[in-house]
Amino acid sequence: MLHVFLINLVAFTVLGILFVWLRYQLQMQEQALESAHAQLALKGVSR
Amino acid sequence: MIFSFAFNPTAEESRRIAGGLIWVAFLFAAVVALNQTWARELRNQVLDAYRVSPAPPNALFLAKTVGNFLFVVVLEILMAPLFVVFYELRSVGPVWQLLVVALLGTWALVVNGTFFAGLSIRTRNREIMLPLLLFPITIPALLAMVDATTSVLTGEASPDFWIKLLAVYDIVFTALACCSSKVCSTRNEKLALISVPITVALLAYTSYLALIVAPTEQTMGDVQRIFYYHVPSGWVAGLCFFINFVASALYLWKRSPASDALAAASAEVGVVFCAVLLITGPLWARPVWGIWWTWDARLTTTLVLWLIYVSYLVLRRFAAGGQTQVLAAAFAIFGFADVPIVYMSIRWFRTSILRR
Repeated sequence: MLHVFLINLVAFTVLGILFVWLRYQLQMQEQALESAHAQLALKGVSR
Repeated sequence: MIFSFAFNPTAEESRRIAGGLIWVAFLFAAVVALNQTWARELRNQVLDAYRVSPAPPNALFLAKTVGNFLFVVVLEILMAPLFVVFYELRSVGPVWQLLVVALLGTWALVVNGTFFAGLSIRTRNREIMLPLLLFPITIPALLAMVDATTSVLTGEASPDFWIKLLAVYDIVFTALACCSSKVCSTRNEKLALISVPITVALLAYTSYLALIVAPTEQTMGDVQRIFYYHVPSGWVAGLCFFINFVASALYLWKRSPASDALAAASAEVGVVFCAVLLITGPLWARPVWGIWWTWDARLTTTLVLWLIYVSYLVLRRFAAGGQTQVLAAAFAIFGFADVPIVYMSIRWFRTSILRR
């Protein structure tokens, strides 16, 4: 029973880290997109 | 058909082997269809056009999955009469259960197939890559489908357990595929191609261990198996909140956007796992304690922890002005103070029912 519990613990940890990593990548993409939009808007204003 | 001509089984033998034969035939038919699922969009850069459209990637994935599901269901409707005729199949158990197994099983094949077809679309030899990725992941579902179908056809055992397992499999893998399909491009694709199947296979294996291999606990019975999900969910929630704490502190120190992104990501995942913890707890408590919920120290502090991080996410989402990230980071550092209180609550507060 203990080894099943420990293996489950490892599997859930891997799943949690995978979710955080995927969500982190998405968040970074969103930030990059927002930054690009802000740069474009600034260029528009300067013209 | 070839098998039927080669071995000419009796009606009784047919009922015993038909479950396996039917699902292997459906699996191969589905793989042929799924291999082409994203191929049309590769021409004329249609896939790239989809990706720059405002539609979220998981909506595109779900639409593709539903389309494939309908296509495979039509294939099954066409193929099923052949099995009935050539194997003289007559169901001993209720026929509606066969329909439930067919729908759940087809969804299990299609949701994974569509996801892995999407991941392998830009690889060389994608026709070979899809079965290599799909078959190992599908084995638990395939076992459940075959056993459930055989149980209904022979009427010797109840298929309820296998149907429930298929339903859980479908929910878990649909959620995983929807979440993972958000990241569908750039250099991360290769890493996702490796890490997602490994994680899914690990989860399938641990579910098999927890639900089937682990012995039944003498006092509590089968309900004790919920601990295999309840405790790890709590641990992962705590880990995510710790990552959020460290990332928030780093953001306040360095003002790095990457730290802020990590803090947001870890809080969201932590809230999800904490919700799983709060849902599975009462599910276990009802048969064992006779109550769904009590305002015990551990339970109350855990609920407060969940509410703190939900507030954190609401703050990030709705706060106006340029200081949102700084406010959120400060809030997260104070919020993390509840994590050690949750952990130590059994020792600190004598009200704890868990202590008894």
